Amino acid sequence: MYESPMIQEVGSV
Amino acid sequence: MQLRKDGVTWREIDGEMVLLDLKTSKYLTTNRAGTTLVKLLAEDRTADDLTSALVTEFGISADRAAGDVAAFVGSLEQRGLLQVAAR
Repeated sequence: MYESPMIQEVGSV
Repeated sequence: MQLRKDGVTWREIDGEMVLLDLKTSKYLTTNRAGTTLVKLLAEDRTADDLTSALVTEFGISADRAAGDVAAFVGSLEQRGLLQVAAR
């Protein structure tokens, strides 16, 4: 199923 | 437009994209469609290039793909991950 492209911040180094 | 080359590194791990922005010390992930676009953005691309890729890979309408590309590119720009090249 298609989901709109997304980028998310996971955390900080 | 393409991903910034200085200070941004990325790898695809188990089908998931992991990006590391050394300037901000942030690391980020993308979903499947985002992974498709990020891989393309390793080189200079137009919005039409990205839209076509989503249509081809996921079988969605060009209108929806164009809207999704605009939103995704906006998100990358907001995070300072893109460099915009003259074409």
